[in-house]
Amino acid sequence: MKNIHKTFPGVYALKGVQLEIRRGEVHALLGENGAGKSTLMKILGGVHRQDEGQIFIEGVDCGVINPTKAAQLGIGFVHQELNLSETLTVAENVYMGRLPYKNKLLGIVDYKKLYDDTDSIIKKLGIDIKSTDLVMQLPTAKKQMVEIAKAISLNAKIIIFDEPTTSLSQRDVENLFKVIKTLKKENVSIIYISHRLKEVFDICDRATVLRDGTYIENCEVKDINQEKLINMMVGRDLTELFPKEIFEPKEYVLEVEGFSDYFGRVRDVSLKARKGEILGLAGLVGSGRTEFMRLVFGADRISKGKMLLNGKEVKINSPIDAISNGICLLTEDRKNQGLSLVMSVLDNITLTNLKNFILDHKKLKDTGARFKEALEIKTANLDVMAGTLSGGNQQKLILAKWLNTDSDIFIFDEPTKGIDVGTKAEIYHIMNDLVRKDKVVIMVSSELPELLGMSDRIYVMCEGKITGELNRAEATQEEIMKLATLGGIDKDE
Amino acid sequence: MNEKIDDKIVQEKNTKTILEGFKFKSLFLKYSIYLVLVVLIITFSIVSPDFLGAANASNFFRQIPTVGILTVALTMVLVTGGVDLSIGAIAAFSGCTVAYLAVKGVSAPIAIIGGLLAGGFWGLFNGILITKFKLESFILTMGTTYLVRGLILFFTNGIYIKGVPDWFYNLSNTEVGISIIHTNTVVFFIIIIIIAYLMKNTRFGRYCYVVGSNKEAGRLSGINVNKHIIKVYAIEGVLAAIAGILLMSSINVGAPSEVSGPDLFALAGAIMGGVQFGGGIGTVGGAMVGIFTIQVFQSGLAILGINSFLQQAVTGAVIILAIVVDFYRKGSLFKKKD
Repeated sequence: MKNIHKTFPGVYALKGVQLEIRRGEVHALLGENGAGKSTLMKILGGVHRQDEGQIFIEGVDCGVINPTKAAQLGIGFVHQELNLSETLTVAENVYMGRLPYKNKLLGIVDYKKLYDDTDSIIKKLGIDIKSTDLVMQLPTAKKQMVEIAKAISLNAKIIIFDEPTTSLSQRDVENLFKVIKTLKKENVSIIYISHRLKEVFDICDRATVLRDGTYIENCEVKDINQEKLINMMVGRDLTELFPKEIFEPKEYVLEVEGFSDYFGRVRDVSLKARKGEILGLAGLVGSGRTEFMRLVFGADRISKGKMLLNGKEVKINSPIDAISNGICLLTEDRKNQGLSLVMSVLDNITLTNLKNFILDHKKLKDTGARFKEALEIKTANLDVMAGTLSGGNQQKLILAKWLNTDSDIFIFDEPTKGIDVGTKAEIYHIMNDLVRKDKVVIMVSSELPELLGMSDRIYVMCEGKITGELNRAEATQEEIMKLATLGGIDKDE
Repeated sequence: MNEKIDDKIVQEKNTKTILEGFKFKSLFLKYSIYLVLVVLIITFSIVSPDFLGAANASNFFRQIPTVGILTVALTMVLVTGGVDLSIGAIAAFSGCTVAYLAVKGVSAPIAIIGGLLAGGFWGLFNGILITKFKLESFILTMGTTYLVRGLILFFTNGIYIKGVPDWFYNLSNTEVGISIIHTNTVVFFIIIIIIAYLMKNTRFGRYCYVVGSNKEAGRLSGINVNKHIIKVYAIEGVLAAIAGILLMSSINVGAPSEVSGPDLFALAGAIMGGVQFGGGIGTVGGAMVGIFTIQVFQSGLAILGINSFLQQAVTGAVIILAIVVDFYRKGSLFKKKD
């Protein structure tokens, strides 16, 4: 892709960007949110058309690409949010719109050929699914494999992965990497978009960095290090990725004893959190971390267990109880559980603290403006719909919503998922501020560097139980992974 | 910055035209419903001088209160993410209740309160079932419609409740100030103001929008979502009762099979006025413009002397058209940022 320009109404999204992909390589496309990665990929995938610039594939100028043409050119796209028909089988999804027919006129499908073809692709990729499985019964990681199989069935020569690992556990990531390596051997080129720099070093051969819609650099991954990459992405020196501040730990505020839920996803879990520290909660996806935190917040009902706040037992039966006891939860799923996307930024910020029946619009506006400034929420004005903000700003919006209450206990579930490096650091700073103000901070995360970087103490969960507690000093990536996979993994595989 | 030069060139080439086209289109879509209303009024008044005459105006203001109050009530329910197909049946039930009590010689205040309670009861009935069993409001209220309509027919044997006292007739038909404005119109405007204020300026209204746009986010933000939904349906039931009582008063009988037709117009009017089916978006003001448009259109067709069966067909076609326009409007709303 050469000298690509693209403008949207009011935004100059790409200013002469170039990208060069070699056959059979894994190429990382890096940049902060809004750097233009997705736009560039959407042009390649035929979703948008470029205003200027050319795209060459194997030396041939392809002109403007549309989705049909993209498929013919062998460009496959594995989206961040998967695009599958949940109620159909794997095979039907893989060959959607191209089902083999026994009789074309009557539209009778040749299911045997369909399943055989799909099985051969699955075998080639070495993945553990059956072509007759219903997609809705598969876990996220395997649904993603279905998308990959779909791309392969189209004879894709280039496959674009847009943040494929955001909702995967460590183990699933390793499986994905295995598949990517298989693809590489088949001479498929891969464009890999991710915010997790570690993965770039694990799997990618070369990298192209974009910033604010401009091309910054193209380099061999083995020639650079993490700091240098970050520097290129944000355009400034991030002296440290995790601006951790250590405070004096104070008294225990929250004590949970023997929490269990009705579904066996959380079993007899206890936890103690105190002022003056960030408490990390580690574990693989599906280990019950999120479910446990939802119990603490009263979003789901507990079957057993009790909870002490400042030494006194409290009953939390609903989020309303939790909030009145000063507990708040910043959910992992920002779009479906955190925000009302069609409502304005202002409405979302003030939602949790509408004390009076009659609204004082001026006062609400002042509150909104105060938080917009304090958290540097990037939005044209407060009346913009929350759904139009970027992921990082949506997270800040949710933070504002809870900072606007008198909460003492802040539970963050995957606080930086899908958020760019710069905003991540801002969120960590806010966490530091909270700790400084004697609030209790609990952070659930899949990103080990983040847990190790920011937590003072880490609990590790596995299969609904707490399998260990580590201090900042003794916690290492290996130790956490050992505890997180302890017990369950053998049964599973 | 040297990017600026590049910026300008490309902007002049592309962005300018795109931006202008974009703006014009979205502006047009945003105000399309107002445009339609104005064009309709102008067209009808040119074609027929009687259109803006006193007789037609009086007629218009007689019809608008019932369907208008239903529209306000449905707007609240739609914004909260539900719908109530039984609103017409509830209105009829309440109207008949008051007529029945009036004929039995019950005093006016008690009879009216009885009617309002009946409406509130059916609202609660819907609200509690919807929240308790997590039902789709569309399906449940379809059932409620049959249930309530059946009960009305059972109690009245399907015949008019006649011989109502004078006060019953006077509820709707007392002139206020000028000859074309009657009590029912005044009640209607008071209700618009109250509910519009409620939706815009109170916590109750704000919660309606939150629950309608994202129930789970609302729940996790500390809103008692179920209680709120029940409240909304109860208030809607009471509003439906008011609409039903005013209608029966204006025709001076308890009419068992009335208020079927206006209920669907109210739904169509609200949606034409920008209230989103599915919740979270819409205003009372917009819904009012929507229902006024439908009413103006109908009275215009009537005054032009168009075959009344054909009137119905044309009105249906216009509603479909308006909803198609609304679809595009919503599209432009969400596409803004790519």
